[in-house]
Amino acid sequence: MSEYLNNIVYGVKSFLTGMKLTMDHFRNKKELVATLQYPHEKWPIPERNIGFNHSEYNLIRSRLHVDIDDCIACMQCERACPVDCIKIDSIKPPKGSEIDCGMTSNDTQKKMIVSRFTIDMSECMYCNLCVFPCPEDCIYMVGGPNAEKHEIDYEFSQYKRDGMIFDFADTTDEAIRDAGGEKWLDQRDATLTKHNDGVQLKGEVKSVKPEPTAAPIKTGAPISTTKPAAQTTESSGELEIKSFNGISDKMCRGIAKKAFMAAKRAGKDAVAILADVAQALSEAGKMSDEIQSILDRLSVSPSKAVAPAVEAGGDIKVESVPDTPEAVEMKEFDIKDLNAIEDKMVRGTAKKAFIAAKRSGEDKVEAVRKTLADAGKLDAAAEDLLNSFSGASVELSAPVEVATLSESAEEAAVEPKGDLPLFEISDLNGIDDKMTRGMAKKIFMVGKRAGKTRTEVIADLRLGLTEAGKLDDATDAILNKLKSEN
Amino acid sequence: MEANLIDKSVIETGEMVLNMGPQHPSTHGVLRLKIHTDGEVVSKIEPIIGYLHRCFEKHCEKLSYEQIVPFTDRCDYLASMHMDHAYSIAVERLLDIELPGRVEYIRVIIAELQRIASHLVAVGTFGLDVGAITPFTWTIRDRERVLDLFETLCGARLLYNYIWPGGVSHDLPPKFIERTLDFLDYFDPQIDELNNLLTTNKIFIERTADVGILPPEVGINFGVSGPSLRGSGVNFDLRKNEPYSIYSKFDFDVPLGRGEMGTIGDTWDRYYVRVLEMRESAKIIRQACAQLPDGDVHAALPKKIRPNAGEVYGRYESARGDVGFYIMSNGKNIPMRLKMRSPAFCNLSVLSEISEGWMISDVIAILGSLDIVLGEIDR
Amino acid sequence: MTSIFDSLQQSLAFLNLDLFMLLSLIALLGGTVIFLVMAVNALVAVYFERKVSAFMQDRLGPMEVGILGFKGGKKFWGGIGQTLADAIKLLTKEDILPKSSDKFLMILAPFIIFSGAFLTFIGVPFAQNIVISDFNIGLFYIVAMSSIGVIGIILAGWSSNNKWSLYGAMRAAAQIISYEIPIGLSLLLVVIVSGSLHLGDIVQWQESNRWFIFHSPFTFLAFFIYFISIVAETNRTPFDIPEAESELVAGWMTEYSGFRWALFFLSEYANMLIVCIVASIVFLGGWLSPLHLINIFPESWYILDGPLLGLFWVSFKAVILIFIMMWFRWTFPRLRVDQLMYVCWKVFIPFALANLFFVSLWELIF
Repeated sequence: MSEYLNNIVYGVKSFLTGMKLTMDHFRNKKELVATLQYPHEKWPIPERNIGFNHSEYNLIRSRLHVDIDDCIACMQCERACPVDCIKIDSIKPPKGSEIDCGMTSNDTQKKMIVSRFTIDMSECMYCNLCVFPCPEDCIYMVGGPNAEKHEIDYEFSQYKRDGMIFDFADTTDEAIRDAGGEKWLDQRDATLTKHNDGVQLKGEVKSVKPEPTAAPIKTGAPISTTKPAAQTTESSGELEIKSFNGISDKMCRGIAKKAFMAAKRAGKDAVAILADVAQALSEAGKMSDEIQSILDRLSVSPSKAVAPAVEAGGDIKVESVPDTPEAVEMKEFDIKDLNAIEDKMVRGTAKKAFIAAKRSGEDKVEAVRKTLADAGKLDAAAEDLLNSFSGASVELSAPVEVATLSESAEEAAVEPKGDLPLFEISDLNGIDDKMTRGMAKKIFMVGKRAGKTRTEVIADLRLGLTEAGKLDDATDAILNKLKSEN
Repeated sequence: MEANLIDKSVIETGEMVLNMGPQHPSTHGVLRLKIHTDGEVVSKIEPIIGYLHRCFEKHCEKLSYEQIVPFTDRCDYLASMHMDHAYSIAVERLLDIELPGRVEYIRVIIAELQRIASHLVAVGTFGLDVGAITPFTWTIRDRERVLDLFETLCGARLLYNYIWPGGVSHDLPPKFIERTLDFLDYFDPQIDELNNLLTTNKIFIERTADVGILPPEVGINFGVSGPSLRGSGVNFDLRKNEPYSIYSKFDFDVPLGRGEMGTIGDTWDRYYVRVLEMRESAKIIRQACAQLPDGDVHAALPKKIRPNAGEVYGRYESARGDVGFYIMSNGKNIPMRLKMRSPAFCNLSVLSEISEGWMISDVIAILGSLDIVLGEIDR
Repeated sequence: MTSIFDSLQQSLAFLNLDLFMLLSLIALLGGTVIFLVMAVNALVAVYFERKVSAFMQDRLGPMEVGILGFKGGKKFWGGIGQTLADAIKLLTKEDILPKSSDKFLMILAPFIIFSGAFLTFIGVPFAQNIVISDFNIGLFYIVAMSSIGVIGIILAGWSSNNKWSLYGAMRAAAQIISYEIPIGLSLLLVVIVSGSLHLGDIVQWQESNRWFIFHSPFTFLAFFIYFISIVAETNRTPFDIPEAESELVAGWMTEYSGFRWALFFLSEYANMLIVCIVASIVFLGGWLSPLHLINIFPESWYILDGPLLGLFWVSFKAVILIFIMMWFRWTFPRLRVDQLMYVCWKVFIPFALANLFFVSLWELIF
């Protein structure tokens, strides 16, 4: 019994002690509250000056920063990183070249150009191990991207994971090319293209019905890309120089490859390149059935440009392929042109898409068109406006687009039996009026995608143009000519 | 008559299997406990681990000796310094390095501060497990002070990568010793406050004393170590029994469970050993701060760690118990095999043994008193 | 003595409605009042609790959300809009019903718990004459109605089809039913002394004699038994084992979310208010001002009475009791389920029974 009561007494006593303590804390909250109201108040920065000796190094571990001017691409930090989040690519200028890679602040002569120095901060585990081996003290932990160099930025958050990859290299493409980094650039651009395709799920379409023989050609944008370097690789897609290795005769192979390179440098697309190659070969009198079949296979991808040639049974008429890019009056598509769009919202969307396309280097017109269509804002006016600019690019990309479509193979197989083959979109360039031309081309593309024959497409064109009241005499004549041609 | 009232064939009276975790507030991470219960009374517990497995040991076979340090940090993330220290001691033994005096003293100061920080979490969350929320926030507030000290030391607050094989990454910052002593002065009364609020509270004693008794023989048989074993009255502390670093130079006691509120080896004893150890750590830090010599902390840092072929086992008394690193080297700059003995893993293995027959609430208290860290168990 | 019900009946008489319509209208109005009281109480009490807990734990608590741009105090009493924002969040949250739950019962359970608290409010006076309906047996009605909630708790725990919920429900049922005994016994003692179950009469008795808490040593003890028992009855620490967050995740509320969970929350805080108001009326003199205790100028305290000031005194006393409950919560660890039963059956019930006996003796002697 006494234990029972003792227990109660001890209990009550201990309760009162505890309650007194919490009450003390409640009453003395002014002194005792330990909270720091984070966005309003910030942590005091640990003192110690920034410097690169161990004794004065500021030990903030927030974000890695690289003074790229001082980087000699010695790869020490890349090797020290336990999680491989640092990636460095460097290009050594060829011997004897006059390129000066610069000096570091420690007066070390740099011997390489740092073409890439990326740190993926989402992988970084802030161990600081990369900082110590650096001979030039150029990599160190600082605040985030928005902060002054040595301030702490506690939050360097991004909306996308890619945003956590910080690129420090500031070398221009020209400088890299000068230093002999052509190959590196090609590789980079190829990777970029591949990546972009992956983002846009272009690979999906291809993988549905793979065409083993057809060289898949990408819808590159020959016009108005901001990256001249990227152009060559993009426009020729996967039509590579290796494709000609199938030619057994050495001489022929050489000529073909030469022609290929020349055409490629000139920035022509796959169809034009093949045409050039064929022409070069026939001029040299080396055109054999074997070569022809190889070329055919390369171009089978039903680009209509060479289709007539195939049909003609070995007799090469590649000359008939219209050499379009120069023929069309090319108007540079500028962001100011978009001001013609009346609706504010549409204009905003269009401009956004334009800028995005400009950055990523895709075809701006197509990008704008696609964005607007996605947003459901592609009305007639905007369409016409875009068409007025897309003239050239549509012509080039049209055959190419078809090439990527899976049904095109069947189409090619079916087509020659019945009606005449479909005419080329560039044939519509004869139409003077811009608006009419745009509309006609649109109808043409619709018909082409649906696999319609020549007569059907022309009938569609007539119908569509009449409805829009645009079918004047000249256009009519062109259509008639197309119908009766061949 | 009574036969017709209840159809006994329909009523299930078997035991119920209760899944606790991996998402449960009191499993201290991602531990899953399969608890066989009869009503509230537990008949069997199967701990299921591996939710935090990161292939630490396999990783180490691909990383150079320096690069392993950040990974050891991540094993016991509540006492990263201890892990670094334990690993460094093993590698140094393999390399046969003599360390400068200053490095050893800095390491001891840091390790004991880390022990305080780790025990503060253990004690606070133990209060949380038995339902007292306020002590937890108070202990976390004090732990912040220690972490602030560490931040001035090496810039990181949780995963330090500070103690390296052959030295430490940075020398002490200016005024570090003064600040440490300030903290210890501040910290002593906080322990009293904690005792008044939690340790001597009648409800707390009722909940923990005489609960989950770990007899010393059972503890030794299961390989339990650290405060959990000392709570059972076994005087085993590597700092005393097998002194590494310079612990033999300091004067401190090893607190043991004495069964003040119940039986020796109960949950309360394990808890109270940790509270007392914080005081002992403070004692060590004071002595080390007073004797701290000058010197270059990077003097013995090897340029490249490439030990001769051989093997080594380093033991260390971390906040959870006896950490061991077993390293086999074949003369390359990466270890051929690295094995870590995890004290929390061994401590957890005894859970089922000592919590049979107790209630679900007690299981949580017992688990809290073992102070496990899943990062270390799963590695 | 009149009630809101009576006064409404009189003032609406001019409408010439038939009785059924009139009663429906009055019920509607009364119900709205109760609901508003419950909602406002929950909003204020949650904020209050969060701040109290924060200051006891050396924190600041909610600081950021304001109402209409007014954030409250800068350093300590900020974030006054937090609970309002939380309420909006709860109401707009996705409502989850587990696939294998008993859907009908699971939807029903919160409403049973809610109506338990709701119905209790009918008999709770906030001041003299400020009561929805004035029962003769008000005390009995309140005790009876406040135990309806346990049915809802068991239903909630069972229908969730979750073992944690079931444990919570079983613990809650055992706990609430057990603790009703000491509550009933200590209230019985007051009834014995005052000779009435009518809350107004009980206060009147205290006006002419003494506050019950100071009436005799036994009533003093009875107050503490009652108060600790109501802490257990409302499932608050140190007796919060039904929803022990470190053991049972959230007890019988584990599977609830959104609006239904908000109803639990609302009724929990309403119950807290009810028991504290009852405690202050029965033991602490209800709407009498504390100056009655001092009684220096015998007539002076009359100016501090009256319906409005009475309302103030009742809520003042209730708020202090609520604060003490919060104070308990942020100081103590939680009891184990068997210890909880031990405290109830082996400490409180013997003491309450002895109390009853001695109070009867006391009444016989004095």
